[in-house]
Amino acid sequence: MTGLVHYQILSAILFCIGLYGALSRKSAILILLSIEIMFNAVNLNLISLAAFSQFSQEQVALGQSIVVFVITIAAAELALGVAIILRIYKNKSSIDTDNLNLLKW
Amino acid sequence: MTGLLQYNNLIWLIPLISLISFVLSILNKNSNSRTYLLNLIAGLVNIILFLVVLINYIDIGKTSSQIVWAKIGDTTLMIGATVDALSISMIGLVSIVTFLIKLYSLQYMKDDPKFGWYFACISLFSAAMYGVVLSDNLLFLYGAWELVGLGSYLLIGFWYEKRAAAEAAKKAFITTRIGDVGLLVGSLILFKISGTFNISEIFHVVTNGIETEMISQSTVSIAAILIALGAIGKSAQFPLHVWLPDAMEGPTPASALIHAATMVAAGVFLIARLFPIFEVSNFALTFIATIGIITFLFAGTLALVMNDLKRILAYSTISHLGLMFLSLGCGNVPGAIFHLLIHGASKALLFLCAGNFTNLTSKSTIFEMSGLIKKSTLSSFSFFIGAATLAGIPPFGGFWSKDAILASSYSAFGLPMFAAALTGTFLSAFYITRIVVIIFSNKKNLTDKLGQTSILMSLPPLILSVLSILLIGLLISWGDRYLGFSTFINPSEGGENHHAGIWIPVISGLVTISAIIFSWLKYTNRISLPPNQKILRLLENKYHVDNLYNYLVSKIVLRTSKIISAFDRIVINDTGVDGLASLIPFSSLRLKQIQTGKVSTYLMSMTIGLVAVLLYMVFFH
Amino acid sequence: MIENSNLISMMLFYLLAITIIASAIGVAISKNVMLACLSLLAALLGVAGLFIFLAAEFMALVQILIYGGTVVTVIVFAIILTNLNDFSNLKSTKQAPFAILACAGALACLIIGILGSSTSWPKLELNYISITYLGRYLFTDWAIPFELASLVLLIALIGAVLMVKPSNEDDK
Repeated sequence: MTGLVHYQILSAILFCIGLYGALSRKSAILILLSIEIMFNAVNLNLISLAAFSQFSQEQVALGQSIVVFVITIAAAELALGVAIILRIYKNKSSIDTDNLNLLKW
Repeated sequence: MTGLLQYNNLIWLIPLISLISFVLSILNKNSNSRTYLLNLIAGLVNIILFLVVLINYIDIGKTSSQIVWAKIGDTTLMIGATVDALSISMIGLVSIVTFLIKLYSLQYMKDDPKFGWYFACISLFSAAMYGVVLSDNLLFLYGAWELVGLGSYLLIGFWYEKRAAAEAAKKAFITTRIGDVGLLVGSLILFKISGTFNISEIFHVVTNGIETEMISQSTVSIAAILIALGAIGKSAQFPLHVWLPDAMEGPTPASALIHAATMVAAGVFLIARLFPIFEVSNFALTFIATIGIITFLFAGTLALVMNDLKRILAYSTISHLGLMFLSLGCGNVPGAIFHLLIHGASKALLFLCAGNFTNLTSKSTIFEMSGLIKKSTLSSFSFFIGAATLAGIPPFGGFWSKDAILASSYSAFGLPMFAAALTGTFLSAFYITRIVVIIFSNKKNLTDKLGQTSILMSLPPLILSVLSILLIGLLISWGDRYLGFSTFINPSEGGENHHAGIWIPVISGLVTISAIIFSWLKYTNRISLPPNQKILRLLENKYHVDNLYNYLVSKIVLRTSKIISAFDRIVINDTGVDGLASLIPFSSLRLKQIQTGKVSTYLMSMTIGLVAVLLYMVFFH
Repeated sequence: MIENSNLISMMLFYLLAITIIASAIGVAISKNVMLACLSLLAALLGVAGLFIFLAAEFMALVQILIYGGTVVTVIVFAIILTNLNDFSNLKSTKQAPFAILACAGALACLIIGILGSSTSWPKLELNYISITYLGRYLFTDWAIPFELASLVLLIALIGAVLMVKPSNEDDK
């Protein structure tokens, strides 16, 4: 019988995998992909908390509304991120984050 | 009453006039005639003041005048001037000799471009000397003492373009400075014991304290010895004598003034002034007497082998100062002061004649001067009288003063000291005769005729020679106001009789005469006394004292200062100050590596922060 | 039916979970860009499946629609436009080992936190809500955030368009 804890642990694992991907990838697009994984982990966490709430329908609706907003913002962020990456690609013809170090000391 | 009040403040005028002439000489440096006139007038005024003060002293007695200088907490520092017999004698000596030197210097320094500065230095020096002599306050005395040293430095190094003169001035200042430390610490000990710097008050406190056993005798002894150290430095006694021969690099009239008559006498004056403190401690008196006799013999032997006329006179000065110290150590203050006056007059006279001779023959060693009797009769005559006085031929003044000192050395320390003093007398007569014989019997012909000495340069020595004869008159009592020199100096002691009998003068007279005969015989080559080569070399190297000091300074002092300066440079400057300062760029150089500009780095830092917070939440909450 | 399907539900859950985790690892590690992209899609679909499990069908549909529809498409476009098959881009950064450590640490902390935070876990009692309810909830109680979210979307779109507009000064 799956309980809340299974979903929570799953979302924790997912989050950390996404984090690892964000830290270890060199290309900007792939970093964005890993961030999407992290978003999904958070959504899963929220939905599972909403589903296991014992109290009322309102709690469930609350959880699911938050997820709606998260998905919205994730989409917006993705769009802007890709726009920035395209712009950088136009300027430097490479999106290797190791070379994007203009803010270096 | 108003006359008395005015008189009290008149004492201040004596140093003040010299000080004013110093300032005005500096302002008028470029005009020779104005400077000269100024200084001459100042000198005359000082002599007049001296006479006024003398007459008033005989009428009124001791006077003093004080003004408040500063208030520090509870202590008030006063500057005061005291006129008593001791200071009057010194003022007389300083004013008359300075005036005569100024007369002489007009001609001697006529062509020197720094004419004005020379007279300014002489004025500064005499102002400081008056300060030392008049001061009734140890602190003011110390200040004037240092100024005297400064005047001496300026005058020795007057021709500072010459390397030797600059080095000699430095050596003089540093050597006397070593002694001055003693004077300072001694004064401070006395201040701590008695709570005041005023000399008469210190005497009261010390004598009362010794009687009531509140002040330990060893403390007073230590203070006395330290003050004697200052006197040893200034008067060029044995360990600190090395500066005086080298000081002959200065102009001859300056040597006559400073290193014959006045500054070197300041040490003797100091001990005489503070004598009640020395009287308390037998140890200090013995110390002074020992240093005196050692110096007397030491310098006497060195004067035998020198060839430069001024050097011989310098060593002779050191030697006679040793004799004065011996007299002080035996408790005979009037004897020391009388010898100081006689020696001052005659030594200054000898130096001035030496200047004349050097000018005439343009040579400075005694073996090369010749035919002087014809060329400068007046100077030669004065030279004879000065030499006779110094050698101690009766009836000239030196005989009486040496006799008094020999008598007191016998009564204070017994036969060994008397015998040593007699040996010194023998040596002194011997080397003076040597000078006279060699200079005046030289038969070589002068090839260059440099003309006659001007009257300005031959008159002062003549006046001084007359003075040295007249000084004998001080020993006699004139009426009931003046009862002889001893009573003059020590009015409270009512004429101590140091004479132990008639045989002392007889013995000393015999010794002197035999020394003169021997010397005349040797140096006119009638008998030959070949000198021991080893001793001769030792003497010619001045007993290696100079070498020892050079070694000490270069090896020990300079090495230590190198180490310390290295420590200061490396530890304090480079590591401490510069190191701390360079820590900032260094750390910022390392720390700025964090800003790589890469996204992954920033994400990593965020993650590390996240992990830290998580750890905290899990384990500590 | 629901009580008997405990075992089945558990197995389904684990199946989905393993799919999700495998896909996520694929996104994080794979050296092939398209493989990473498609793994992302797989992960998203897996999560959508889990949503259905949790009685949030609307959310599942939203997820598939938005993520699967737009996100992956945008990513594919980005990959095409930036020529992402350059092999040097696909290596890991120099800090990968530290990243493993950090993430492992974070994971450990999270799991400890999760396991230790509650003594009894609630039983699964699924609350179904209807879309109507959700819609009404969104538009009444959460109306202001809703409007703000739409505003954010608008601004993001405008921003994105502005950014990729060719500049007028230098004609390329």
